[in-house]
Amino acid sequence: MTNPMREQVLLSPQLLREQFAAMEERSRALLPTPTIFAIREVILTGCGDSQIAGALLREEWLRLTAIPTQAWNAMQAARYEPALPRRQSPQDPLVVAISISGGVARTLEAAEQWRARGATVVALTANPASPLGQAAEFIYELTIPPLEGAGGPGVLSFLLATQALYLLAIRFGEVRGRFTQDEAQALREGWSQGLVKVEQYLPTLDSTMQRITGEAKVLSRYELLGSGPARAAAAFGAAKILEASGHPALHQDIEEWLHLHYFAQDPLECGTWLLCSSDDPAFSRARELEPYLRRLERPHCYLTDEQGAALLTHAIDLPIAPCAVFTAAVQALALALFAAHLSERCGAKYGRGARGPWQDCADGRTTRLSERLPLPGEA
Amino acid sequence: MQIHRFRTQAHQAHELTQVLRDAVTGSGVREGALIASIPHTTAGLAVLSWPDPLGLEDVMDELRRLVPTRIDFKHQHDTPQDAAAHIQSALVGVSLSLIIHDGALQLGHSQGVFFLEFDGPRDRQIHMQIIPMQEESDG
Repeated sequence: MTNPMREQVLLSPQLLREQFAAMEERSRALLPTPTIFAIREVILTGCGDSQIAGALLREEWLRLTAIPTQAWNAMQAARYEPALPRRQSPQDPLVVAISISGGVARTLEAAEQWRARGATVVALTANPASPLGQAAEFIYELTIPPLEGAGGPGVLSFLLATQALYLLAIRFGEVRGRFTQDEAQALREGWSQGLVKVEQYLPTLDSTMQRITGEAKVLSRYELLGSGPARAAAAFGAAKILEASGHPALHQDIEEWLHLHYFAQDPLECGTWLLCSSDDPAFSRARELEPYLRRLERPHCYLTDEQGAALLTHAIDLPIAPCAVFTAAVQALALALFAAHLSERCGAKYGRGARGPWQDCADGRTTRLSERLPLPGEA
Repeated sequence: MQIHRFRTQAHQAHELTQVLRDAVTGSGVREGALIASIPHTTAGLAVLSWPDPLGLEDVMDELRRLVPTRIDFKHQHDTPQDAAAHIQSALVGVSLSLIIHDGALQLGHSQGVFFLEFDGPRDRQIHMQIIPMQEESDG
């Protein structure tokens, strides 16, 4: 039986590596140097997985570029932030609007609203001819290869957007003199070599996830906890569980969990994933959750590294990664594998097959068809 | 041909005089010429006065004043620093021809050979070819 999401996960490191050089070149050619120097603020926005890719990269953008960077969902970017007072300067801010199809209504609206206010708008999309491509001043084209039988929830598209945002951040950093060209190249090579490691490790991780979903009881809901970039990985994992098996899945910050979801009823029915490598600033707090989870009798498992696994009872250790973004991307892959196997075990159709009460989402209609706000000055 | 590899600091005049002297000594050539060349486009090779290190900084500073890092260079494939460095490299040049006499490199007492790093820090190299005089090579 084929499992398209699992197949996408297993193929993704190789496909990311194959596209790496071309994407690096696109990152160089995207924006002229004066524009790169004009930017005072960066906004990464999109919906669903695309929004998560922006959230995953926010801290890394700030670290590599020293430019204040925000990751907003498209509703925030389109309807709340544009009306707020902010410092005005030419070409500013840089808005990276992420939509693989280029047809997501709210992301398009965000791009239109910001461009009408003088922002530099980049569309990160696989469809340059799409409405988003038309609305943007610059297009960073993603190439999504046709994957046989892999019409399931997007994993590769999320990872390609992540890789593109990382390469673009490196580009901004090196052009603005934050680090040398050699140091920029070392960052790129670190990412590339990380992909080789992950490719070698994925079959082991796949077997582990298959075993976990095969042996454990299928629970009624899931919670995924992480902080910083790992919070984005948790959000991606929740999205994949929702799409693949349809189980209710929530994501939460590790600290906030103790204030909120800790109190949820039926803890025995709530599978809990904790995403935290030993070098994550939130690791000590994640470790403190272990006795609480045991007392609640919540089925739980940590996604960590070898050093973290040595300190925890239920843990899967992931390979050492070159940076926090990469660590979170691997955590996201692990959770996508879990979701894929869970879906297979339950015999669930991705997206409920867009049938019955879910028929409205066929062809992405629920995200494409939506009234857009008029632009400033329009009636 | 001999190759010497080294690591530079950013915008630094990195001295190579002894490297060239050692290449001459090692060759055993008494009369001839040494051609030194660097396979880089963001660096230069020059003979400068070594006794006062601040004089070296003056050279580097003045080249940066002549060709400052700007954001409006047409070459934007790399960085503004890189674009400026290409022009500084073209102004200074990337090779030197020096005379070997009596088995030694002929340099004035305050002359030194310097690798001018217009980018960096980077891993760099210098290529050296020693050519004996015809009479000597004819034996």
